[in-house]
Amino acid sequence: MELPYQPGLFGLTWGHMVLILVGLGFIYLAIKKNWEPYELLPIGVGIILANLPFTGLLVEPVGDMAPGEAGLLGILRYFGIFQYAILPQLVFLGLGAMTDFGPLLADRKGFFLGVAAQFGIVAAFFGALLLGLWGVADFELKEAASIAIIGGADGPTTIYITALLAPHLLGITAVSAYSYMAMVAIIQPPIIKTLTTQKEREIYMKPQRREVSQFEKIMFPVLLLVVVGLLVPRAAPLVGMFAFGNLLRESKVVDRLSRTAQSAFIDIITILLMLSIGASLPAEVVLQSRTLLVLALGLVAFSFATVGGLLVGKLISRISREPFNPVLGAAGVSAVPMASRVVHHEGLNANPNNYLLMHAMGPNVAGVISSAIVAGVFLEMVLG
Amino acid sequence: MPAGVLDWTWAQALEIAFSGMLTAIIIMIFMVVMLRVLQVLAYRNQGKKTGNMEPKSILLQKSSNSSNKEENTGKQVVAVITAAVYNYIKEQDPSYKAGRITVTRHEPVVAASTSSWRMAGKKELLESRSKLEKYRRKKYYEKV
Repeated sequence: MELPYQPGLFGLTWGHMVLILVGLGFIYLAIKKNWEPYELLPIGVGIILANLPFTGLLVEPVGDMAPGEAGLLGILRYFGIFQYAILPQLVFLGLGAMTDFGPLLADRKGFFLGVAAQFGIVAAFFGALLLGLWGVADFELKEAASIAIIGGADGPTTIYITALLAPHLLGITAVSAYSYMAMVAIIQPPIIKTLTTQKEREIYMKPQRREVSQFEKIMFPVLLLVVVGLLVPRAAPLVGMFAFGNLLRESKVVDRLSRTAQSAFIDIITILLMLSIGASLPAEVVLQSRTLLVLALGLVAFSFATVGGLLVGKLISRISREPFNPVLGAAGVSAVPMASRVVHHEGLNANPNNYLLMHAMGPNVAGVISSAIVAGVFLEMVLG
Repeated sequence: MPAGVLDWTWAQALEIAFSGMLTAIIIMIFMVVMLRVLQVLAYRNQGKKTGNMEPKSILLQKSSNSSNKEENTGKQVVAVITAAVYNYIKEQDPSYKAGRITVTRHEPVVAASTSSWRMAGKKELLESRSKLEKYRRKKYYEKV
């Protein structure tokens, strides 16, 4: 019997089924375990949609096409990420509007912890290149740079860099970044306990360092925008949007814009971006041995980022005149606010009087800026 | 690119990684210095407005260190509570006349007033009371 149309069921392969299960797994983790729900839920749906045969959702708008021929996810991916990469940049605008730089400005040591945590990027970069050298994988320089940025622990930065350098790895690097960000509470504590002593973790820090003036809060994003824009032009799209969003917040004169950027705007962009990421994970792209290697390198990147932050945290603790808890170094990993929460809990477990959350937010946001800067330099040098 | 042929050299890879980290460090150092300048400028502006050139945080720190401050705060709290109670009673009973409300402030017992070993012993007993109780019960049952 011949059917009047071809049902998707006939085109279903084992690969599709595996990926649909992965998508369902993401939805489960988001709903039941509350793991990065804002990201994993739309990504999960995107994965399922991308792996349903004959939907045409992934068809990109290229050349002369009949109306309705291009699929929604294909259009989103094409315009939002691959062709213009505007979605990750716009996410940064919303993130900037949501970020309070007060804790960082109050204690500027956070800047150094943020940079130190970028050690994860370097570790993953050389890790990917070494795998190529040893013949385990054939990662090119652009691919290695894209994988390395997972160590920045910043989803939009990872997406932006991968879209420009290695678009075929986009889904995997983005999912790797977001998954490990969700698992920071599992990855970081053993490393913190290994690299710091109980005595170090117990170090008490006063709740608030100093009051930050409105003038400083307004001038900081302006300064950041100009300095980074002049020194690393390719980081300007990310850092520029971040600074702009923050200026909306701190200027206190565009309250409506600030509120919109922090809520509806970033929510809409997040939905579009995460659906596009999910749609970048069709079975034929994901089910390769390289995927496992990228995931493994992502874990290496996160671990080394924590190590880098902690080592510099220990150094600052030694030379600082005021008591400084070296655990704060782990907050340099820019998984906001999960890394800060982990640091807070570790500090609290060691000393019930220790409230490190606000101290940790400083290095945390410094990590976001640092990873965008390093990513910009990578773009400059790899793209040329 | 043909398989087995690398599109990079070690020098290139090192240059990329080194440049990335170094640029981030330089920018961060620059930002720290500039923020210090901004902080001083902010204090100066604040000083012009208030007529006091000392940074607000230092003023706060100084005042919080003085015992007078604590005493004044205590008196302020007493005054506020007295006023609130007075207003409440006055609302309930308009014929009420002032002068009958007394709010007493109790100072916390300072550890230094008793010997430190006694305080430490008391604290230890209080903290491990539940543990000792379990131990006592276990011993009691063993005897039975």
